[in-house]
Amino acid sequence: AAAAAPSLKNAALLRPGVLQATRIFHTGQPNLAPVPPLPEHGGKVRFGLLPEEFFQFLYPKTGVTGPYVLGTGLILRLLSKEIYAITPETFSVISTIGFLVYIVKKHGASVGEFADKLNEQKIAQLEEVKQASIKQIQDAIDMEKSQQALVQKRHYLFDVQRNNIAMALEVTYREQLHRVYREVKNRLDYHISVQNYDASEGTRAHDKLGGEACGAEHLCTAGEGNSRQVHCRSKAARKEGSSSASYVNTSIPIKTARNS
Amino acid sequence: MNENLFTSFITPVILGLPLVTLIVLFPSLLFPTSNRLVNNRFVTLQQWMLQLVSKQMMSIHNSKGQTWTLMLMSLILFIGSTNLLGLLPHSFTPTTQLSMNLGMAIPLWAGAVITGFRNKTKASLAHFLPQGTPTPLIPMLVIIETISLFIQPMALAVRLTANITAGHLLIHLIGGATLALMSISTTTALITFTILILLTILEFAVAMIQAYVFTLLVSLYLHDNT
Repeated sequence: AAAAAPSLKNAALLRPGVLQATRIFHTGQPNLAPVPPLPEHGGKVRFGLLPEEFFQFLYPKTGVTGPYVLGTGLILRLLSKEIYAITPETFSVISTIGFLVYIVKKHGASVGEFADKLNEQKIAQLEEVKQASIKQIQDAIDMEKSQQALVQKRHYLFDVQRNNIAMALEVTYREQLHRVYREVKNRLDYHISVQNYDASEGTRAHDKLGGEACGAEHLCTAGEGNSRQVHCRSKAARKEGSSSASYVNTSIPIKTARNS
Repeated sequence: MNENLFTSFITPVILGLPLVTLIVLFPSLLFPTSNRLVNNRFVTLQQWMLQLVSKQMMSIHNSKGQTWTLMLMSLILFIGSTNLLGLLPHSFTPTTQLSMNLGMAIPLWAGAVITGFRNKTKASLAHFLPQGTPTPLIPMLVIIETISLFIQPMALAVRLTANITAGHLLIHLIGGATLALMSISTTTALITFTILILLTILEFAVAMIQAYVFTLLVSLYLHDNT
């Protein structure tokens, strides 16, 4: 599979990827096995150079001072046999390495923290974009939910409106009914007053009554519903030939209020 | 290895094979590339520094000049790293060799000037005469400006070489003085040693400053010509 897959390895005669034959681009897993994770901290060292394991190795035989005695002896041997000669370069070595060690000891931790902060800022920036997106979607979901809840309660509004309309219709109907009643009553009253006037013209004196307007007064005092009916009918029976009388022949049961 | 003052400037050869190639190529190992978003501290710091330097240095150019960014950034990294590595004991600094500095300066300067002459001929020729010169002085001034133009690559190369070489020499000499004074009077030796420490600090600064100056001047020549 590694040879057959199209890759840089098989691209040309000399196979330009031949040096990196184990790293085929994008045709499979980047590593050959689940690579074990790297440890978080490196191995412990003393003096920045000598691993701790060396000291532990010598400890059973020579104790704590063993490695130090070994180191001192080695350095003194190098110096005394002039394997390492003291030259002007030595002083530049001392000053340069001393300067570097001083700088690292003083500012090493803060530089490391600065690097960590840079990385954290990068991640925080992307995280913020992600969180903003999530928050936006969450807000949209909440708004949608609240709007759905509102829709559920919309029938209250319609009920209220329906009731309002029904009330308005009822009111209009009653109003019209009342108007009809009043009109009819008006006409009937007119006829009754005319009849009363005609009837009373013969029986009473004109000036005693003081005008035909009083006919209405008599009417008001005389009338409860059925009595007026009887009254009208009796008057109508006496009269003949007046067109208004025929009007009143029909017996209409009219419920009158006191103040109509 | 250090019999006289010249030994630290001899190009290293092992068994006839030029070791200097490896020495010149070595600083590239110190700048790892990484395609990750979150890197280790080393790479993070390098990327941050590179971003800082490139923003500061390339913002003055137009889009044509900014195509030189890769060249200038690798230039400053190379010169800075080779200078700093040369301060370590017993190491060889390639930038002390005039040959190499000339090899860096002349092509870069010539590239900038020829670009200017090809694309903006009138403006490039106009650089030979500063504004507002009185008429009798014009011929002389043109000659002087031409000389100053052609001396630019020489100045670039020699400046870098001289600074680094002089620094190394001084360190060597003062170290030798300390050594000689140790047997005579220890106090004076200590004073000399203090001077040596201060000089080392100066040399670290000079190493980085020279890299910066070199790159800055090249970018300036570029700015004039794009």
